Amino acid sequence: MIATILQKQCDVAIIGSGPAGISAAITLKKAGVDNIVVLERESEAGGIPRHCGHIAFGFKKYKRILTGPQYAKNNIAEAISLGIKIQLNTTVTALGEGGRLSLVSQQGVYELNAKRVLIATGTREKPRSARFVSGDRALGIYNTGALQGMVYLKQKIPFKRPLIVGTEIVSFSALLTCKKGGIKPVAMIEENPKPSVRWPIYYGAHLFGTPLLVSDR
Amino acid sequence: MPNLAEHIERDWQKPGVEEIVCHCEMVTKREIKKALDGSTLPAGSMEGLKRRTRATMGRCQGFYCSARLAELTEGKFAESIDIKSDKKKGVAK
Repeated sequence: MIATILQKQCDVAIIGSGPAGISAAITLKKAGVDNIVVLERESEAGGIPRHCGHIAFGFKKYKRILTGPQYAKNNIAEAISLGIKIQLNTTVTALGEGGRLSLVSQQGVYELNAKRVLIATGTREKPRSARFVSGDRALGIYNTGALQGMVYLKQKIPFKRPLIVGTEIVSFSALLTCKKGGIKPVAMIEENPKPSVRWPIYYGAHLFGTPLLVSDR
Repeated sequence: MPNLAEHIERDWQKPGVEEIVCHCEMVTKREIKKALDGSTLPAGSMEGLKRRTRATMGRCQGFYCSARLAELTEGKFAESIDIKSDKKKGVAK
């Protein structure tokens, strides 16, 4: 159930409705914790997999290869079937003493008293000091999350011929996202002599016709 | 210009918040709209919007809000975030 009535008390407040938050909520519910509230700042539950429109998600859990959005949908459906409340469009602005959470939603600023709090806000972009993609950067330089959001959630195309910097798993996710959006990267570039992922994955770059440049920066 | 200082009330703390667009910098949709339309000197580029509101300038560097901003700013900038909307206007790329 997607909650609309604001709750002021709960046993466990979980911050984030991505895979971590939802699986924690399901585990707690099955263990007998009744009053769980999952807080989600976005207008839709599911977290990052919602905009990873490509495979391969959910093999361990569902024994099937799913796309990110399918995986997120399955997780949410399971939580809702167990009666777990998910509070959307709700941002946690402060975590006070004794589990006092300050929240803001369309109903304004309010508080939620939780006996226990679980922070499941997941993985984050590298900090600004490491990336420097914000600030005075020119238009057309994005991180993978921004690209995925544009292509998969909003059907928008921020560039036609980008350079993918890095060869981690997420770089290949960027490549798949480009493919989906009809974007043709000029190359992938890696400063180390070898790509960061193992060979079956980096072979993907050749399949898409994207040159993979190593020992280059 | 929106208030960006933390020692006085920010827009998200005021009633009637419809949506927080940039969560790192806590920028509301209301502030974005105002910077684009309601100002005497509206933002004509993404840079201008950044300077007025700080949207995309936080720790995630536009990871979360860029897609939503592409939507909210459509048709407002000389050079759009979404290159498809520039094509519609006939801007050469």
